[in-house]
Amino acid sequence: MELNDAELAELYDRYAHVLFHRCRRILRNDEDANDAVQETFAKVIRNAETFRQQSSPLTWMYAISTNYCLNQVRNRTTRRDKREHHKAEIGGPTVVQPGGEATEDHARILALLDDADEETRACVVHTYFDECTRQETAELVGLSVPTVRKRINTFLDRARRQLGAAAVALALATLPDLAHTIRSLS
Amino acid sequence: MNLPINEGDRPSLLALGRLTSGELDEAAASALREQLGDAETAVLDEIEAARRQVRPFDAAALRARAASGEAPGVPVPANRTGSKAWASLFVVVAVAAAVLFGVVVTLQPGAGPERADISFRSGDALQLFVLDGARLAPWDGDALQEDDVVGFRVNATGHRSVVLVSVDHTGHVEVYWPEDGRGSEPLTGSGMVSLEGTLTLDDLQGSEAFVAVFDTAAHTAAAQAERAFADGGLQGVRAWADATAGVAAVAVPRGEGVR
Repeated sequence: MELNDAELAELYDRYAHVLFHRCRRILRNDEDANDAVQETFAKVIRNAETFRQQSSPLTWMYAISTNYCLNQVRNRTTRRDKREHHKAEIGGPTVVQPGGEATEDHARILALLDDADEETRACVVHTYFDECTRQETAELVGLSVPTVRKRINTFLDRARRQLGAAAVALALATLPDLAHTIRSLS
Repeated sequence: MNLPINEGDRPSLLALGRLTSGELDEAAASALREQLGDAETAVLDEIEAARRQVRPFDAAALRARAASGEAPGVPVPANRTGSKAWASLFVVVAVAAAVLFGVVVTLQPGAGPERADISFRSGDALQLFVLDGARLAPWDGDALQEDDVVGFRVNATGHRSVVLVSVDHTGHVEVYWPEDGRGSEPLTGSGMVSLEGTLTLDDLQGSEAFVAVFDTAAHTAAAQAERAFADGGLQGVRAWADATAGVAAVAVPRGEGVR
């Protein structure tokens, strides 16, 4: 059964700002976070029947928005790489994402997730961006706690190999927990 | 291995979200409230403050988005000559999609080509630069050719973000900043600031207007540009820029033999 406008409005009032806050942590951009919210609610509409069965609507929305956010970050990084750069010759301050140059390192760390499987990506995002416990992450992703632990450790090992010390230092400004973790393992 | 992850000694962001959205039963909510320290309280305040930043509820827009099956957006080649392979792939995908859904796509209906030598500058919040040797120099008014490289500066004072679209003399609209055609390009600082990156122009013969639309989402800016063109071609775009605070435009002649 479809959600009517009143139900949708109530859901939006309860969850949109919560979801926005969470997506902005990943995307670091208000407009992109708003797009993530809109897209998530569109999926709520499209999957109303499934959504109604959720004991925690927010948990379902977190899961839905995770891949959207990661895909946005990946697209942003890929397209930036294709663009030519002549900004220095124009002079004057250059437009950057909120957070300045550190944003690129934020994206670089997130880009490490591109090579990871979907479950690992979800494990890392829930653990470091959502600050979920392993138990919560396991429930969100549908894995056991030991499997979550293994997936995260494997990811961190790979990140430590791929990220140089300088990148880790710059990343401290954007992802302190993850960067600290990587550094502590170095 | 000592990982600084949440070992259950503090509420997760998810738990705080469930608390503030009223999703937890009273017992769980009470237990969670007892764990709240200053940091968690600050996060709850942040979440509440986000109400002012989230897009207002619009049932029709959400349903339209849901019906479309994907997020609305404008196809964006970040660099016209640098993305031909990508563009070819896009065409293949678009054709496949049209076949799959039995959709006939009509591109750019309405106004036909207009005079090919239109050139104007509306407002001073957008500056166009052209690569000259090793540096980008202010555009001198000459016609721009295929493979010319251009960059832009915009006046960031009083604005949080900008969208830069182009409208050519056939009415074709493309979003160039932000690169992915969604949201808008954040602005920091004040005064004239450079937009990161450059565009390499294609082989268009005619005229093209570059329009900076401030504090607006890309899909809205593109729709406004299309409406302005429908109202009066590139002169309609100029009229829109002249009449609207937060919109600035530069139109340039394009191609050999133009002007």
